[in-house]
Amino acid sequence: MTGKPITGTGDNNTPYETDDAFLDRSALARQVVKDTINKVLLGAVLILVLALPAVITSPTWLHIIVLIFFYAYLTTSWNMVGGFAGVLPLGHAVFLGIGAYTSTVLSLQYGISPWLGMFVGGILAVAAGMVIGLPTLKMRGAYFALATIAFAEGVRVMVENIEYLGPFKLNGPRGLQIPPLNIGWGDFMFSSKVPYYYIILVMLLIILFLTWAVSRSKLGYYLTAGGEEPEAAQALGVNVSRAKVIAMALSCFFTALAGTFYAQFSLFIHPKSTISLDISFEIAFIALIGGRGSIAGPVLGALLLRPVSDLSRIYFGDILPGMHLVIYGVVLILVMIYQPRGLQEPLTRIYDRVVNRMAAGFIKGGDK
Amino acid sequence: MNLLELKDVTKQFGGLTAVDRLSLSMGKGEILGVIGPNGAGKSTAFNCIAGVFPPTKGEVVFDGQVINGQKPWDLCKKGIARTFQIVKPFASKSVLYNVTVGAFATTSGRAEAEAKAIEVLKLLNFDDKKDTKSSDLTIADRKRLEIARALATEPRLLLLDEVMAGLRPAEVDEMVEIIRFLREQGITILVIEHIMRAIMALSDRIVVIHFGKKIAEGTPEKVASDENVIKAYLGDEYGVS
Repeated sequence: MTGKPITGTGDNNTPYETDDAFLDRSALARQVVKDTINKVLLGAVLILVLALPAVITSPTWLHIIVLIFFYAYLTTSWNMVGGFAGVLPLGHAVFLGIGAYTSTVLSLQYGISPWLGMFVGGILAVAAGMVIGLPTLKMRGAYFALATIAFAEGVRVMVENIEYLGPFKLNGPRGLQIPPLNIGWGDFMFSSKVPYYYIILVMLLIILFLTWAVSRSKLGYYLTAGGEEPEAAQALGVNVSRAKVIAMALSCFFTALAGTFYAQFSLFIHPKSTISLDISFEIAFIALIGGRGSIAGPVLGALLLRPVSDLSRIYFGDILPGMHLVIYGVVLILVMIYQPRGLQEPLTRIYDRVVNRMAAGFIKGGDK
Repeated sequence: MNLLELKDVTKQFGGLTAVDRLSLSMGKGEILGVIGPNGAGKSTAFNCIAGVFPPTKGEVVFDGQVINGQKPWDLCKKGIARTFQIVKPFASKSVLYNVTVGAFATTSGRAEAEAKAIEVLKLLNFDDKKDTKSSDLTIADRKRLEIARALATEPRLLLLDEVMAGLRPAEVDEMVEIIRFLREQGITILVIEHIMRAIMALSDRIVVIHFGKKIAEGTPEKVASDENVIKAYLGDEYGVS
C-alpha cells in the first residue's frame, strides 16, 4: 500500500490536461463577463429604486411601494429563522408589535426619540423570542409553529384587554395615536412619504446584505445543515439548537425594527394592526411563495403578492375583508404543487439563461 | 494507551437490554470490526459511543476521558466522527457544501473551511464531483460523501456504520482501499459491517456481538472458526461438526 491518494471510480484516470486548461480558461472568461453583467444589472436596479420617488410623485403609489419594501424587509427578517433554519414561525407579528409599542410608548410618555426606542424594542423582541424559542426550537415539525401562533395570539389578547402595563399606557383595543407635532429626522416623523421610502429602502438593503453575509458564514452553513438533516449536522459538530436560537434572535431583533418603522409611518397602532395573525400569515405566505431560504425569494414574493393584497383590499375590502389571504392560499397551493421551492427558482433559472446568453453575445462580439 | 475503551457498557430501552455489559478497547491506529446478526446491538453500541444517547450503565472512555452522555457535536470537536448507515446528505446542496459543513468544525472562516474541504475531496479522489448536487449522487458516491464529510472534521476516531451496504463488489473493494488509506493517515477506525469478505480483509481484530453480548473477539481467522460465532450466524444445529 502506498501513500498516494486512492483512485476514484477507476473509469477515467487519464486527465486530458490541455483540454481541461482550455476549458477552464474560457469558462473563467465567461464567468468574469457574467459577474460584470450581474454587477451592472444590480447597479441599474439600485439607481432605479433610488430615483423612483423623483418619477412617482403620487402619495398613494408611494404608499403601496413603501408597503412592498416593508413586507420584503419583514419577510427577509423572517427568512433568517423561517428559511435557513428550516422551522416555520407563524407568529412573527408579535415581534413587530413589540417594536411598534416599545418605541411608541417611549416617545409618547418619555419623549425618547423613536430611533432609540427602535433598538430598545429590538432587544425586548429578542428576549420575547428567547422565551418561545429556547424551549421549542429543539422540537421538530409543527410544535414550533404552534407555539409561535399561541404566543402571538396570547400577547394580542392581552394587549387588547389592558389599559396599562405597569406604568406604560397601552390603551387596550383603541391603540395609540402618535400626534404629528414634531416633524423631522430626529423624531422619525415626516409629512411626505419620500423620507419613509428611503428609510425602508435602506433598512431593506441592510437586511438583504446581512442575509447574504449570514448565508455565506459558518452560521449559515450550520443553519442549512441543521435544517436539512439535524442528526448528520450534529455528528459534524453542529450544535443545531444553538444555531437556531441565534438565528431566531437575529430575526426577532430585525422584525422589531420594522415595528417602529410601521408605527412612525402610520402614526397609529392598535393590536389588530400590529400583532394580528393576518400579518404573521402574510409574511409566511410571501416567504413560501417567493421561496424560503433564498435571498431573492422574500423580495420577489413581496413584489408579486403585495399588489394582490392592496388591490383586493381596494376592491373587496367592504364585502370580503381578508380576501387577499384566500387568494394567497390558492396561489400557495399552486406554487407548492408546481414549484415547491418557490417562485425564485424558475425566475432565477430564467435570469441565469438571459445572463448566459448576454455573456455569450459579449464574448462572441469581442472575438470578431 | 487505548484510544477508546468501553467498560461494561449496558443500554436498556425500557425492559429491553440492547447492549449487555459490553467491554472492548481499541489501540491507536487500529481497525476494529464489529459484527453480529441483525438486531444484535451493534448500532446501539455505536450510538452510545457517538453520543446519540448515553449508556444506561458503564463507561465510554475516549483518550483517557469518560465521555458518557456528551453531545455528538462536542464529541466531534474532541475528535470522534461518524457516518450514518442510512446516508444523510444535505440534499439540496453541492458535495463541496456538504464537506465544508464538516470542515467548519475546526475553523470559522469560510475560505479556510472550503480549502480544507477541497483538500479532503482531493484525498478521496472525489473533487471532480465537488459541484454536483448531493441528491444527484449514486449510492456509492453518497457513502463516499459521508466519509469525506466526517474526515473534514479531522477525527482521530472514525466510526463507520455499514459504509459498504448496498455497494457493488467492485465498489466494496474500493471502499476497503479507502478505509485502509485512512488508517495510514493515522486515524483509528471502528467498522460495523455485514459484508464478511470486506470486514475479514480489513480488520486487525473483530468483536462479535450477539443479543447485546460479546461472544467472541480476536483476529479475523480466529473469529471465523469460533464455534459460538458459527452458531450465532447459522443456528445451533450447524454448531457441532
